[in-house]
Amino acid sequence: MVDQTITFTIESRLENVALVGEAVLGLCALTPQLDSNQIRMAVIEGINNAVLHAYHNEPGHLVQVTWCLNADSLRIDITDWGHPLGRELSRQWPDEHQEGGRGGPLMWTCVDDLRWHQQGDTKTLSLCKRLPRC
Amino acid sequence: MSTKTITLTIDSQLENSRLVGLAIRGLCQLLPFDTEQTEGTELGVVEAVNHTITQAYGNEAGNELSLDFSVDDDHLEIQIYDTGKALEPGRLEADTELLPTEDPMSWNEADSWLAILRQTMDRVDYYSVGGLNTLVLRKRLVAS
Amino acid sequence: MIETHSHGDTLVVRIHEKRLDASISPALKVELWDLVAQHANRPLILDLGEAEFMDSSGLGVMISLLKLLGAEGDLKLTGVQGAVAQTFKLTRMDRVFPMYPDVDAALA
Repeated sequence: MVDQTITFTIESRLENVALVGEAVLGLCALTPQLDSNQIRMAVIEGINNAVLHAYHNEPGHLVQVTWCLNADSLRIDITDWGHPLGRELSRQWPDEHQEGGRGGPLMWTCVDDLRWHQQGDTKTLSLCKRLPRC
Repeated sequence: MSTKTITLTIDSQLENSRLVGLAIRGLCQLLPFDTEQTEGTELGVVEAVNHTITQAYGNEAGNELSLDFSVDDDHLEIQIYDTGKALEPGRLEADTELLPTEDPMSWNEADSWLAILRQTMDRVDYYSVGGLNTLVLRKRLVAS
Repeated sequence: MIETHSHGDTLVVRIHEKRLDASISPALKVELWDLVAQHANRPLILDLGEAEFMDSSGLGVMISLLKLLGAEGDLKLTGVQGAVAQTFKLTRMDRVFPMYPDVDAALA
């Protein structure tokens, strides 16, 4: 199976995040063995992270999401060119009274692997979900 | 409501046209479309993308095809961009009646894409400027 | 891509594809044409029940079969629904192909 790739690009506005979420949900028809709602959730949390923390909720910047499916896995890369904040996404759920800090553990719940990489100004969060073997 | 836009980009391979179709189907869930309108939008966009890949890019991989999906209060606008071979002038205005059903034997798949676009979209425009070709598809979101 | 079985003289072909689109249409056409060549003059039922989408290239495959079978041919479609039905309707090809809800109805 050849890799299938499509890229989504939005302006850094929170109201645009749902567009990517629904587009990714549509693509989940190609991965019926995976939980589509979890995939959408992980992508939305990753983009929210980029908009809110990398770009401080400032419009006028780009967030790029590349969806790539091969025979073994689904990988979704979320790329921004924003602030190089501390990029470790915690797996630990915060204290129940804490309002924030749930994006990281939520993403870890939904995917098999999360990795950060940076090349120059380009920061990419890779979400990976392995495809179950028949 | 300000305009919300998402850009989709694929390599010019027909296998990728289904990725666009599925993504469009997903995006239409955000719109006040019934099932038929969603299906029509997906079909129209896939036909346009297929045509771009096969005709503008001669079915050659390695070229970029991008599409802007923009929505405001009243309209959905989809712009499909390529830097390949442009449509012949006047092509869009040519009479593209669908194949008469009395004679399916003369069905011409090469013409069907435009006829399907006219059926599924409220407005279809095309322009080519400085090597960038743009096909613009518009659909009303609310009954006028 | 396809699975076939016989019901008396009729050849029933189930297409195991969700999207009858430009990426698979050439290969699907080859498979279906080979089948028709092997089973010439038999009535043919194409079951599209698994298909969720069909573009003009997919429709082109259906029409090519119609042309291949000619005026004497017997081709019926079953399981045409949703977006696939819409493609037939938009192109007015729903008036050309005999359609039935399922294989049993087509065989009756």
